[in-house]
Amino acid sequence: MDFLVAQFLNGLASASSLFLVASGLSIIFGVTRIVNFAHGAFYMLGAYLAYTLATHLPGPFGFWVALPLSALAVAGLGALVEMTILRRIYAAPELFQLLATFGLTLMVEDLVVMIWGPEDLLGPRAPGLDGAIPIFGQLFPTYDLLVIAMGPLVLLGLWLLFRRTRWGVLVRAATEDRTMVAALGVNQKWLFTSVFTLGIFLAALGGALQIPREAVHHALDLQVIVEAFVIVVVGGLGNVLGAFLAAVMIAELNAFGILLFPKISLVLVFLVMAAVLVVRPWGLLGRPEAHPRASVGQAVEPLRRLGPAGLAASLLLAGALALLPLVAGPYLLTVVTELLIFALFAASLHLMMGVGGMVSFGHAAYFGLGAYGAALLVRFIGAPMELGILLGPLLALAGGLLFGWFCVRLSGVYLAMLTLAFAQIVWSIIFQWYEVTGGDNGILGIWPSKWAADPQVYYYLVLGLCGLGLVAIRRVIFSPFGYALRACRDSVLRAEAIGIHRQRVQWMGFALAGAFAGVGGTLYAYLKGSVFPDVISIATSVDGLVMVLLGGIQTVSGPIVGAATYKALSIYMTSQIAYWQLVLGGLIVVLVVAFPEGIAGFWQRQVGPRLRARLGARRAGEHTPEDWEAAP
Amino acid sequence: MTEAVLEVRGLNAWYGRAHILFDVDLTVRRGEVVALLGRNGAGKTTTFASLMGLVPSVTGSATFDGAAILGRPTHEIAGRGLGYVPEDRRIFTDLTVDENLMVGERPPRDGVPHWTPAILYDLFPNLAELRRRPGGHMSGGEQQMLTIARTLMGNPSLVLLDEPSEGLAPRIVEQMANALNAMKREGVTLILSEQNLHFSRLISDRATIIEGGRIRFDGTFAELDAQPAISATYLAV
Repeated sequence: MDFLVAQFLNGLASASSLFLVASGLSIIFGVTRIVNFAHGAFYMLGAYLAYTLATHLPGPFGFWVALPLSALAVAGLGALVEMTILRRIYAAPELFQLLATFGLTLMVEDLVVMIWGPEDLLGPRAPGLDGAIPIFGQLFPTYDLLVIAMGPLVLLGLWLLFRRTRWGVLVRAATEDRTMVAALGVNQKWLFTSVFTLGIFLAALGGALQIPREAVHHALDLQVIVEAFVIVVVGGLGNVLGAFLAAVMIAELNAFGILLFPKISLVLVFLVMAAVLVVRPWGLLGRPEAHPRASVGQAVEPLRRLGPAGLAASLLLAGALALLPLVAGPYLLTVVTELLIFALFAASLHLMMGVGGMVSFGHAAYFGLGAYGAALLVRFIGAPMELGILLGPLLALAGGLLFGWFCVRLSGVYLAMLTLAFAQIVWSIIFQWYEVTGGDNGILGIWPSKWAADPQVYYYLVLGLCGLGLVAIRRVIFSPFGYALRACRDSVLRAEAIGIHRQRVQWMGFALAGAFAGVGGTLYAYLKGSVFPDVISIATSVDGLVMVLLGGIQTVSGPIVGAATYKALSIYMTSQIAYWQLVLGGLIVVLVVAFPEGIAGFWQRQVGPRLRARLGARRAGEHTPEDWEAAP
Repeated sequence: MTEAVLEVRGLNAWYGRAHILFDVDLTVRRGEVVALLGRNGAGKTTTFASLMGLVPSVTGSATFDGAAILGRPTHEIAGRGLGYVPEDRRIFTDLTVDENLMVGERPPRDGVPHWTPAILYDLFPNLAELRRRPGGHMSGGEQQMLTIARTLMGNPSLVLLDEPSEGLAPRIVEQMANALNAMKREGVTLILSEQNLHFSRLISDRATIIEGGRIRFDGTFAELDAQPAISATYLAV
């Protein structure tokens, strides 16, 4: 009993810190519509900076000054980021901001290692509160009581700020309807900057508060951001009180889950999240958006079939790829094999988000299920490669059908967050179910059959299968089913009014996208000869997003271009540059700011028309569809 | 004749590739109430949205209080004193009536009426009883009053009022007409977009008819009545 009370208090202390982070994330999303992936990175920076200041500032007050000071400093950095980077891309499709903040996260991860080194750092104890007091006979750290108090205090402070000041009222108004706030003459530039700064301050304070409780390390960011996402979604986006309730709930679930169900402790949180979202799709205290915005893939220009030039280019590329083994050595072939696999992965994600309008933050789940599908067949029945390639993707299809059934009940960011939750569930199961999946030791010895063991042969196999997959996805996009999928993306009401069963169409689209990703995953397993839980990590999911968005979500071939570019860059950088995350992250940020419509989108809208205009001058009399539509 | 508050010349607007407005001209003088009449889809809302900087692709010119506003950011245009009451009202449903007014509040402006919550609660007595009620828990008529009051809090030199009578019960429409006339007496300049000829006649000095994105008529109601063919062609349903 006494132990349970202590555990309960422990949960509350973690809840405070999580609430600080999540409320910041929630406020920022509410007003700016930015899903701030870098929020965990700012939390981590707050912790690192507090560590340095607390160990260097003299006297007993040093520690107590260090906490708010580090939070303020990181908030200043946040303001700088908002003004120099985010401000330039508010008009871009909303996922681009996610991409930019992901780039920032990569950079911060490397920067903290450069500055503070890779070791875990243990912060000093809080002067004056370094003891423990007995509570029901159990010693409980005094400092943790302060941390527990911080949660409700910050909640009260935020409540007063949002209810009692004009700034707060403006923020709440902007959370509901930005356009109307502008139409009433409010310059939102500074509103956005101040909101972002406040959110970052809360995140950094959350990190700083933790230094006497937990070691500071450079993987804190992802750990925190996932929990913060879960809390924000369970509580209701943009709702601070909801975030508080959800933080307490999740933290207690963590505290007791590890006692009651140690085997599935990681899965538990995400199961609860999925359950909450199915019962209350907008979170505990959230509400559906009054003015729903256009979905992600919705394009100014509809997706187009390949013209003669595009067809020629595709055939040329296919020909070049077919001839590649004549000139390339085994290493290059392996690299290109990987590029092909990720092209299929990115195209499958595009099918889901670009065509289906369902953004996935967890597409790696299906890639990973495909890989593990084959690996488990090898491990338990010693299946040959042919069987593995045939049956492996079925596990991904099953996952897509199961998770998709839940996901298509939601839309927008909620759907995206739910996909993340499901991906984390898959990851946790594989990570914790040691007897079957080998946990983080992975499953080894998944090699191609003898006839395909040569890199050259396996390359041709992957080229053939991925090529088929890409063509198939294209066929789907321009089939009646693809049109129905796009109709649901563009207007749910109108699609349903003409008799399209929206949920079923999206469910099938979801499952199909999962199956294609699974094919990629299976091929990946045989390429590497092994699978590890990493294939399902958030990093893999985000990689997929980067590929699709970088390539251009508004084109069919964009994701393929994006996958090739991004994967080639990251393979090159990991092998050549020590701090490759810093460079890659910086590159992503620069690309997003320079090409807010993606590489292929930039080509299609900026370069393409100019090329066509030049060619058109020579071939007068030939009409493109655009000319015809523009004619009065 | 008093000076023009708003002068629009050759306004064209597009949504994507769809050309919506064709060379729209519009002039409003200080203290005047102009009715912008037209059927659904005639281009009334697009005209207002274009002036507010809410339509990305526009050409032509619009001078408001001596400044060119076309292509400027929405908040800047509103900040110059161009008030906008959108057709779909867009009340902040989470905010109370008081807070909704607070969002609209701007500093006083020379030469135009200065509005405070107290004055507005006199003008719209219904709202006075609901000051602490969230905007989402109000009737359509009350929301329409609130959205007008919220825009007036910005002390606008000209208000673009988009179909204020739409979807309201006849009794409420009458209250609305009284309130708008009271605003007019205070010296508020208005463009009133309407399909309801009868309602707009109660308030307006002048009628401008838009159809198919083009201005078809501009003159007094007496002139409009003298040519019944015009209303029959462009307004009759």
